[in-house]
Amino acid sequence: MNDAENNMAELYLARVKSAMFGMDKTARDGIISELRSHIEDSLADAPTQEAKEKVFAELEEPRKLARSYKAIYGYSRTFNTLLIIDCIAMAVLSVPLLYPVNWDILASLFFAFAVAETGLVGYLGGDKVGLAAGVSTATARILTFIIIYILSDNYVLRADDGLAFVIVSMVLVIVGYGMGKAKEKWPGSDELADL
Amino acid sequence: MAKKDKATSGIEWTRELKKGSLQVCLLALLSQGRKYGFQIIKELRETTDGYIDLKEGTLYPALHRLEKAGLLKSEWVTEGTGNPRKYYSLTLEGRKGLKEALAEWNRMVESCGNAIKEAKL
Repeated sequence: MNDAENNMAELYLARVKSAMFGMDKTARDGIISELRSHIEDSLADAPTQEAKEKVFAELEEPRKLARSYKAIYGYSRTFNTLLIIDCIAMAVLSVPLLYPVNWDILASLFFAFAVAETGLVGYLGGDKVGLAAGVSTATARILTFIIIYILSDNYVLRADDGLAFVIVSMVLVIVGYGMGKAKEKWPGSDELADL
Repeated sequence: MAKKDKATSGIEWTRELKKGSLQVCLLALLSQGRKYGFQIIKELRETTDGYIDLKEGTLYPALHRLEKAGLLKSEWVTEGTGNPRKYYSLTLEGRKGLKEALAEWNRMVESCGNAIKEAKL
């Protein structure tokens, strides 16, 4: 492989690696090494300059390739954990007691973010990760509510308000788990599409 | 070489049929011994007269999926001064899987063959 070919190969591999952001580093590095080896073999087997150019032209589109691998390996534990922490933060901020009266819209906005993000975690990580995200965020939201209620002197909680808050929080569990399950049912990335 | 054009029926028969057979073909090829990706692509192309002509974007994820399912194992090998290659081979589970797949394949060919024979065009 000459310098120009090497540069083209490395450029392609960098794009694939970047598209696999969030995946486990060991899996990602292994995939890149294997693709590099494949490109080297393909170029060595190409007898003419035209054939070598064809090797690069026919390489799979990086994002599509990354989707196939993500469907197999999912995202790394660190990536999922960071996302779940972010979901928890959104859920905590969605507790209405944190805000002055009539600031419900802000709490609702944070709740919408929490629901969307929990759903995203489920979609990216699958049903187990989605369930973990849903349970963590719902628990964090309910605990925050309880703590603020205990510390607050001037808030009187009606039983049905408390129940409604818990039920609404459960939406996070349903969305997180549901999106993970739905992902399994939806036709996702199909590495056999180009057969 | 097999054509990828959509059939007039709107169903891509080539792709649909290949989808079901790729994993069996991969396991069957690897039952002969360990092989690396580029070698698998070439051998599959040659043994199927170009009917199965895989791109790397199809082959490697399929190999990784089979490896994750425990049917294949892989190892990096550097021969001489050449570039390192990742070789795939069947696990014991993979051999059992291939046996089951071939039994099912033969059953399907026989059963569907009977139905196809009766087709009136």
